[in-house]
Amino acid sequence: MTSSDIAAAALRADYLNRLDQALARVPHDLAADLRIELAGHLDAVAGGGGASPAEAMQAAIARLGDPEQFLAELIADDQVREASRGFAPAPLLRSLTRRAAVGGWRGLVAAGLLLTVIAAIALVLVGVLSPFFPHHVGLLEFADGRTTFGITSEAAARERLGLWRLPIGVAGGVMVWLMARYFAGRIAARR
Amino acid sequence: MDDTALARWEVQLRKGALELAVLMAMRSRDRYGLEFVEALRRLAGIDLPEGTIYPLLIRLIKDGWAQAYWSQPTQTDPPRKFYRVTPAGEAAIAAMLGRWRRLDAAMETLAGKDPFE
Repeated sequence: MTSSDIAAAALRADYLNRLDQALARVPHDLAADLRIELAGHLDAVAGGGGASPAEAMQAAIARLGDPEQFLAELIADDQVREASRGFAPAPLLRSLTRRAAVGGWRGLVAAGLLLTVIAAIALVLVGVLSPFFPHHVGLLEFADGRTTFGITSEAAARERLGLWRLPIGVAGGVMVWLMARYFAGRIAARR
Repeated sequence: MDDTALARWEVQLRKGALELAVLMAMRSRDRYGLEFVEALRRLAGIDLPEGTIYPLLIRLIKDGWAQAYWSQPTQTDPPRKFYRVTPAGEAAIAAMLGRWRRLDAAMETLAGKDPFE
């Protein structure tokens, strides 16, 4: 075995290691298939020849591309789909942020859904915090005639919803959250 | 338009046509990942980062436009995942080609005369 063979084997192992790290976030069956396919692809291209085994492997790796990049959309969609099956907001927020960063039209939709989830959390907060901060949370009317809905640092002259803030905030937030969760699952499943 | 802008536009154009090209490459015979890359490069001049073909093939399967199966390994060949077009994929090809031709005809019309006359 020449030093170039050893270098080629090291390059291959490093690439497959990066591939495994990327595939760790893909469902197991799909990841197993992809690993076999991509390893076979790499070996076939590298086996096609080159100035040396190491250079051939380097060229094959360059042609295949960075797995984090070419699997980004697949991984991000899968994470959104998984997160949309549960009821915890944090995984959905994380997965939608990642999906939005990948881009494309679904990235734009993910950004919109991300804002929707944040709005849902804000609504629940309005409901939950209203008994503790009666002049800072709710449908607030200020002394200068301004009206605003939400949470402010400035104390309002009057709050218009009263005790309804709690059920409106919590129920509204949960409804918006469920809607965002539903559409996240639908969008992730689409092409 | 400078060369960079033109190249970017061409990349977008080819990207949009990629699914149709891959589906059509399955029509003549079942193929595996690397074969698609080589066929697209040789026959259609589409040169892509080769790893991108695999997420695309997964999408085609999810849409029901393609099916996959593993070949048995032989002494010379490793196991390979082959892809074949489904009847739904054939229908998708026909629909996409129809739209492609309409778009092509519209572009020819626009290129041939002043569209505002």
